Amino acid sequence: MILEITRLTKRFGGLVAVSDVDLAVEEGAIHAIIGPNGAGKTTFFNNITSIVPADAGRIVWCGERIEHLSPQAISAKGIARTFQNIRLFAYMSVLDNVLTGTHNLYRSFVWAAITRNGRYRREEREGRELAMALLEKVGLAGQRGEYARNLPYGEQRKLEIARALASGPRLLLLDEPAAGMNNAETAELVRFIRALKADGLTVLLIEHDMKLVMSLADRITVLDYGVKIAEGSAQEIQNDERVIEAYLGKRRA
Amino acid sequence: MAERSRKVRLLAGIVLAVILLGFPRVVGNEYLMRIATMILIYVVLASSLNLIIGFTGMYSLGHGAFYGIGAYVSAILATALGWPFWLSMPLAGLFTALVGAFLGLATLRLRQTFLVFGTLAFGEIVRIVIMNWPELTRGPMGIPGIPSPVLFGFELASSTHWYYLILGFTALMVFIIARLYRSRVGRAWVAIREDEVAAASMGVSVFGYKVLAFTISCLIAGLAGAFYAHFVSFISADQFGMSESFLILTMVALGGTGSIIGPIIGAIILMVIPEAFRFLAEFRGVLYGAILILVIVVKPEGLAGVKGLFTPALGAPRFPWLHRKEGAK
Amino acid sequence: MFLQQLINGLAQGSLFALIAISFSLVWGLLRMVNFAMGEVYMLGAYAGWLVVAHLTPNLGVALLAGFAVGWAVGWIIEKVAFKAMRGVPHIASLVCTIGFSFFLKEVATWIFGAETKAMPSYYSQTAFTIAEANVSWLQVLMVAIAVTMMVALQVLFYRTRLGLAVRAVALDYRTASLMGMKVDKVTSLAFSLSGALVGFVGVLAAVYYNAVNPGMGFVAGLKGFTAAVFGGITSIPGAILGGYLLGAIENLSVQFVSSGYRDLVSYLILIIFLLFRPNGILGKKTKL
Repeated sequence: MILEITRLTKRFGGLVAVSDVDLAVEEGAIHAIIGPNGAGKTTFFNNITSIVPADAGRIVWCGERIEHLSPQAISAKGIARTFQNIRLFAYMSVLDNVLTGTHNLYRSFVWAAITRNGRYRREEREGRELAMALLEKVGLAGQRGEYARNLPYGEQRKLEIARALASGPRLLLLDEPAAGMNNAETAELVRFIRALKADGLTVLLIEHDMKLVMSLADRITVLDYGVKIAEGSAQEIQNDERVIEAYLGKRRA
Repeated sequence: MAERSRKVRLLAGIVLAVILLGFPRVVGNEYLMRIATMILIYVVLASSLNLIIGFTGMYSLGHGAFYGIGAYVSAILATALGWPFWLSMPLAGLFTALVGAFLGLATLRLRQTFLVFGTLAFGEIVRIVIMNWPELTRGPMGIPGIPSPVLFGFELASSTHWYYLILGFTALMVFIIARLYRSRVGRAWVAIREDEVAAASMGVSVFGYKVLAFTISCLIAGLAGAFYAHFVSFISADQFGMSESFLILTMVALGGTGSIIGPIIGAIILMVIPEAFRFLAEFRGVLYGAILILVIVVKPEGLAGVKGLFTPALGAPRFPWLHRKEGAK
Repeated sequence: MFLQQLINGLAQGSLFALIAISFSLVWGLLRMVNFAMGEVYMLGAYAGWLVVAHLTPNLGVALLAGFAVGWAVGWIIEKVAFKAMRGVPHIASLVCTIGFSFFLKEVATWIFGAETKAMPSYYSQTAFTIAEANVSWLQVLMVAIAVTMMVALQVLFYRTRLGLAVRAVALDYRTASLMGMKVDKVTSLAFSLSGALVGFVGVLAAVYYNAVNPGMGFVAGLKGFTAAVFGGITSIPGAILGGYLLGAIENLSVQFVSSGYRDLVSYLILIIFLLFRPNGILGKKTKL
């Protein structure tokens, strides 16, 4: 298990957003987290990446406890994410957005930047090659000079994923990547994520699009009001009473 | 297309260089050269303040104080200890950078609003200390007789000498800032300005880079102060107070935040106006205040600025003061 | 000596407290600061001076003039720096008020000249003596006025419908607006009222120090803000506490440091509290 989370809890005042959640993710798997709105899924992601540190629980990544680390440190350990409401660097070019994703890979600092020495030039060249390759992969290479803000919504989502991949992570947290996408785009996204898996990436995915989840996910965890109510394969989850109840309400007797 | 724009930029650069270098020959007038020299100094000051404002989104009202610290340190080292300019100036810059680093470390975690007041209070503290420490600074009497630099036995005292010296200094500073901007460091800074949370998630040490911007900004302002002190040969604390901080801020705001050319434009406009329109001299302050108000309301990023600072980030709430954003400014 | 300083501190503290309340009012509603508050105070002082110098020596009229001018300027600032800028991050509004601060100061300098003008004294005779300290009628008046203002505000906010609206908006802007409250009017009122308050205080200060000059707003505004942060900017009792404490500390500090450093004490308090306890004495010890 590449990622093991035990009894993760997060409270906001009197509200328990995430309650005693356990999660184990296998390396190379696509693991989906689903649940009705407000179930605590994004908070869960925020806890994992320490943007909003959890109140209790353990997070073990590749055998190391990370729950006390800063978001920067966690990023350096190979965990990258996208955000539910796209958090791109709006007034930065598409290329620069992805280049910023490579921040952890390089070390050029003030002196190198000013003198444009060997290290600087090498890192910039490598970084650009890496970024362009990623942009090619998501089909945005032609827009590399455009402000991120000017991209259409679907392309912004792709850019966010490219940026997340730029650091060469081993775990990718995708928060509702298919939001606002039509069927064709969603199908393309499914292909894309499958390709990522083929490259050896582990993917943890929050999604509302059930078709996507059921066709992609190796394993599904269901949260409701911050509590894990079910876990299993797509087949198992589809038929789980509690899950159906959570989404649709109690079946009338 | 990119190739053509490069050629245009190169051509523009050459024309600019010719104009700047030939300026003293064409304009023999001492007075105009001194004005031009002061414009260059303000270009440096505004550009350095832009490192803080335009690249990290934090507003500092203490820049006049850093300018003043640089001026005083160099002046004291030169007059009281007899140090040569080429030694006192870099030391002044370093000292100012150090003070800036401390202040930055202390205050950059504050909300924007509180940072403004914190830097303002700092500026006042510096001014009060200078005024009330006559053993060191001669208090309200100021420091006269600050010597001109001597290069290989040759004293650089005339207006023309000073023009070229400060032109070189300004060009170097702008060059360094431009290089920083278009680098990994600059990307980190812009990322912080655009979205601190996302930047942190990419591994950018938000606080560290903010302190870096602040420190480099203060280093440059301190150096500018040192140049100024030796240029005008007499300084006193009231030259470096709130009005000065405000002026530099307005230059950045008017010219444009977050771009290289913005502060340059701002500095030039605000320095040229009172000279070009003599009758406005009385209203200079009123005009500057009105300009700042207008710029913020009409075009908050300034004439040649980058929009990032004043537009809510993609996905951010429309009324930011109603919500507590994680990592909110 | 100590007692005299303390008494002076209380009188001055009344001024600080009222200015601090104004900051607190706007902060509580909008999480914003009107950087030009000090200049509104200064303009109020000049209004009072104009009245006394050219109209009538009646202090009441002067105070009223300060109140009115402060109200008007506060109203203008709200319209330009805040209303016109919805949807833009509030740092922009703050910078706009910085512009106003400079603009208003320069306008005053242009109209009235930079030199200090004398303001006549009122009620400066000694009211009574405690040990060796004199308390002047003016000082009594200042404290009395401050207390009255505070009570009046308390009544306004807790006993009137208008006050209820203000508190509702302060707690939850969106819900209040959904409930039909005219949030815009409340915001406008807050600015006008805080402006009027400091304009009024400006006249008082002018009388206390017998002087008006365009630069008086800067220090007063900064110290008023310091008082608000000191006591706790999120609450009015905090502002009051901060004001009086700051007044006392500043006046007592001349026992220990030379008078040139007097302002420094206040600014240090500001920086220290911003760094270590931005919520102030009365504020909760949570992230602001």
